[in-house]
Amino acid sequence: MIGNIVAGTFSAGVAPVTSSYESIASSTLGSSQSSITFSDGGAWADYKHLQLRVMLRGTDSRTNVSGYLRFNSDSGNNYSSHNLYGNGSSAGSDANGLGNSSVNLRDLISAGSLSNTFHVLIIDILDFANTSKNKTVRILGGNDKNGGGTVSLQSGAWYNTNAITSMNISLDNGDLGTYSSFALYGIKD
Amino acid sequence: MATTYEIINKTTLGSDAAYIEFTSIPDTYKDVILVGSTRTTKTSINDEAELKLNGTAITGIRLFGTGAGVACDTIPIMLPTGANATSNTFDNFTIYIPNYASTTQYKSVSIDQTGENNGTTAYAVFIAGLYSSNTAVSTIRLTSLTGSYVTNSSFYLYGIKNS
Amino acid sequence: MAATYEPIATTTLTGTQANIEFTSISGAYTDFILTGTVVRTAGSDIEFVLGNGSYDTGSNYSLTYLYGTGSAAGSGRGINATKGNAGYASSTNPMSLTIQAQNYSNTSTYKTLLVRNSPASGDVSAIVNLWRSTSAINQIKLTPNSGSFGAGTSLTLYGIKAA
Repeated sequence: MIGNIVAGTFSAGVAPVTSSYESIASSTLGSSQSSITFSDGGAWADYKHLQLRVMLRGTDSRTNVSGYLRFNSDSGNNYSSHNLYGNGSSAGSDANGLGNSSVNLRDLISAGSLSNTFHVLIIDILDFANTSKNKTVRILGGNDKNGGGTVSLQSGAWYNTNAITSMNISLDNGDLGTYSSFALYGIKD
Repeated sequence: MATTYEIINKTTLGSDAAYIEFTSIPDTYKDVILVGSTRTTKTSINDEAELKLNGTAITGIRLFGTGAGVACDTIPIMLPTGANATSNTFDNFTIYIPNYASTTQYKSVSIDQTGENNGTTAYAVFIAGLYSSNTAVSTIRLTSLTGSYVTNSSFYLYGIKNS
Repeated sequence: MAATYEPIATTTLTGTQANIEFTSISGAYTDFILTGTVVRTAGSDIEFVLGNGSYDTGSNYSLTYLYGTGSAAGSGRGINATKGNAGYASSTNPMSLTIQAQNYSNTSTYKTLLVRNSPASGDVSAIVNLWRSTSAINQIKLTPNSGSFGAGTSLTLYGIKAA
């Protein structure tokens, strides 16, 4: 027995398993496209948590764009987002969309910014298939542009207790640019 | 084949509990990571939760956003989602303890936590903690300081090997 | 064949050392994570340089950071720097440090590195560093800008391989 848990009662340890962290799918864009979707075709059944590692750049001519993270093709007003951020001059925190149609991904770098520079995101979703919980995401990310940029800890919620079976990222303007990369990992328990 | 990232233990609460504790943690890993999805019974948007290693509370620094402002203090208490947040909504956290089994130095702790609520207030937290003991960490306890962790709160302890 | 998450190299110090290097980093992975415990002999920033075959010491680094001191929160920026920055600690207590580099071998993009730094005394911080080079990263060297790394410093470089 390895390890005990006490929460009022004892319970047995968990037998060691093969690696808990596994790659599920990935995509690096050879040309721009409007969005990226990962869908569970049964491959997610073995996992308890998901991590999506993202490196992206928009094609819109602005310096920054916003992004949308949606689950199960739900674009209803079933999301909220909050943001703790540093913008290079001050720290701040705000509610970044309540009763929204997506989890908002803010201040993503786009084509009007320093060339060859991408925004990185590490998106963690725990208990993604738990049907007793809405889904809360934790996102660490940012970009630097040698004179601009932002770093943040973002949160988002999808107010739906259904298991997540797909996730989609798109932008408010323009496309996801060439070399943007998306890698989905599953974590077992 | 040796595996790097392994589950050590886990629990999902079937009833409310004031605390959760992992004991007899083996010293065979390099680092440990505790991830969790929690909610408590405190009638507020958030509760407070204390992390103890081997029965000793960590010290350190906390930086957090409330959805309306930012604050920083030396109170390394986590801010789990409370009962007044949007129903069925749980927080999302990771607690990283590198070199947890060292017997020659103190242990640093790094915590990232986010809660959500369909309202202005929700907490995002960074904590830098210190366990001021050369004893290997064999027990990790998280305690809700006002309420209790509710049913379906979940906790997963992973071990990370470095060879 | 590379596993999904596996250690590439590890360094644990039994005495003081001016810097820590990981060289000849395999390009077989998608991302790397450099993580562990840092002990230093004096309060200092941890700085780093990157390279491919040789270190870039030109003014090709920049950063944006969010920090909390224990009494105040803030954000700052550095431009046209000759080194990257992995955060500040004011004491010699152990500090957890994680540096993540996604697509570190991509030869069409600049390199963005995400740092989480958790000293119990100093600045808890999240930092995004940019290395304005399209070269693949195959070496990284970390150096405190005051003092040295101390005994007990233990860092492991992990590779993450996407499907």
